[in-house]
Amino acid sequence: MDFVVPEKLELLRKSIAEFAQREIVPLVNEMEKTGEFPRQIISKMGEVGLLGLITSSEYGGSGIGFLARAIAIEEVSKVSAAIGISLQVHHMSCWPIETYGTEEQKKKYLPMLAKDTLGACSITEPSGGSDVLGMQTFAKMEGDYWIINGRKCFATNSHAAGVIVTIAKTGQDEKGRPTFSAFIIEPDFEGFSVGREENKMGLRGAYTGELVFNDCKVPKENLLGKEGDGIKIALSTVNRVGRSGMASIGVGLCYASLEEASKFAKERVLYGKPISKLQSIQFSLADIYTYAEMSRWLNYRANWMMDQGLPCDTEMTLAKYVATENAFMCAKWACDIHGGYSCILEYPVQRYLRDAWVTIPSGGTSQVAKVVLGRYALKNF
Amino acid sequence: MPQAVVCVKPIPDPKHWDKLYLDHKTGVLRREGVPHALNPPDKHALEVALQIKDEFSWDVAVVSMSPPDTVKILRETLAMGADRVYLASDKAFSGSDTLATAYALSELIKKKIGLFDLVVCGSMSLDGSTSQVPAQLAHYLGVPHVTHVTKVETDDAKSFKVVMDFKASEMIVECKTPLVLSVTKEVNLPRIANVMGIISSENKPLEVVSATDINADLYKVGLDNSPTKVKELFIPEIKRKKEILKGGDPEDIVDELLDKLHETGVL
Repeated sequence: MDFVVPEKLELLRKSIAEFAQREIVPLVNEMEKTGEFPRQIISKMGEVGLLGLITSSEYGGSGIGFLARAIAIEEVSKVSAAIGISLQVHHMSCWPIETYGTEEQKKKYLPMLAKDTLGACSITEPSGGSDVLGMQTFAKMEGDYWIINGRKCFATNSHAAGVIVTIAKTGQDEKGRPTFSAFIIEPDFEGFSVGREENKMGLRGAYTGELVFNDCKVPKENLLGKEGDGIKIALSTVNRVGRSGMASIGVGLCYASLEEASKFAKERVLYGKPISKLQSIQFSLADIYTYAEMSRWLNYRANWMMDQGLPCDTEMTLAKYVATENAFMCAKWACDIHGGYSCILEYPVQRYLRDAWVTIPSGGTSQVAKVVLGRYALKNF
Repeated sequence: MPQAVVCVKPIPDPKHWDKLYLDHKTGVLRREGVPHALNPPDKHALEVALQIKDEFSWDVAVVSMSPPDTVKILRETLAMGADRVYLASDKAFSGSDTLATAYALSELIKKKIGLFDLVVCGSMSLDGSTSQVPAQLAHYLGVPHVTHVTKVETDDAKSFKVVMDFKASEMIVECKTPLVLSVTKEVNLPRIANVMGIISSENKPLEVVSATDINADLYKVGLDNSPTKVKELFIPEIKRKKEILKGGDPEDIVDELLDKLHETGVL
């Protein structure tokens, strides 16, 4: 058993941390104020290799893998969880195209997604995200086109994506249950538009909005996978890419809280000495550190398993559940240590708290995760 | 292929200097638990060479003299785009002053690289801050040296027009290869190693060599053979000074205040 992060990935961590400090930190205040996604960051993320982390080199990425992706998203999220979620959802468009796409689809979309185009993967509808079978968006074949009608909501990167992977109802099985298919959408397809842009309490600066399909004409060659494969594609993408991405954001927020809380405790002087000398503050820092390490190593294990080709859906769910809940607790403790300063917008711990709250339902609520984990526990213990 | 050589030095990471402390009994700077990082000005030196490589297809070799555990720090130069690294690492080099270091680096360059067109150094290391090694290296290599370089221009990569910045004045120097340049942080913005660079760095050569490997004269390296010695290390004590100026005429008091501020160097 080897718990040492490879030297190559520590170098990646250092590079991405440097990139985040240089290119993302200057954007954060404006993102917080306006909620606007800074589009200029897309090509810069492409240049440093963030967009193509899990895309094979033959399609313009590096294929460095999921553990590398976890570390990279963690470092990005330390300075901006909003950019972290934009990046992680981008990967949720790359992975299904490479895993289920035709050679033509891979050659057409993956190189641009690795370079300067942001991707999105949208499943959730107003009826809910986890109730996949209850979705209303449907597609029917007319000539050489699939005609899609419906509406997706809470779509990350909605207003900035150049490639969108989505699913729609396309038929029913022998038992009368709906069947779904996956599609690759380009924003300039006839009948496609973006709708409402949500004004969120956290992850401000990452677009979350509606995708509207109004007799949207999708060329038949843009069917992703086989007809009827939609649920398989959606669930595998959410389980393996989405949940590990959200877990990585959670880990980044845990460590951001730890660093800020520790720094503040050493600088803040009360009764003639830094508050870091107080045992009660040390206990809170110990809790943050414990939760951060717990989150990190559960996430690294799950992503390492993914890189090894091992089944890891349960481990990914576990990592996501723990890391996002822990991120909220770590941010809360960091705010406690800051006292009244945690209410001041200049201090980032309040942002970590708001961001962490938004990560919890993203990619499935903690309750949905617990349903998965509970079933696993009953089956195996 | 034209050859650039970049000298780099792993130093205690400036982000963790709060963990450094001075052992007053031994006079030694303790650095336990402080990770190493590339000396930041050296990244600017590497960027100068990499930009020449990008435009004129040069080969870029990195040289360093440091303990063997700094290999992983040097790999970052390969990830940024350097072609190979030579690290001189030997107990015989331990405690070398700037002249001994420059000698060892010159022997490393002569033995492992041979002919070169350009050597680029950072203008100083942030831990030692002497700025002496580049000039001493140029002496040992027998080539000209231009220091405090803030701008490098070339049309053919054979002759260079460089700007030397001395804060109060600038000097434009036209020079021909081979030469040594020492550059400041104003010269460029170093690139960040991208993911493909990090992956390819694993397959680039990184050779660790001993004093014997480069036939270094052991009487010219190490603490005992260094002409300069650190006599004492201390942390300057900085205290607030309070002095109340009293007198009759406010203008006289202001004049006195200005005189004192000039005397102390504040103005």
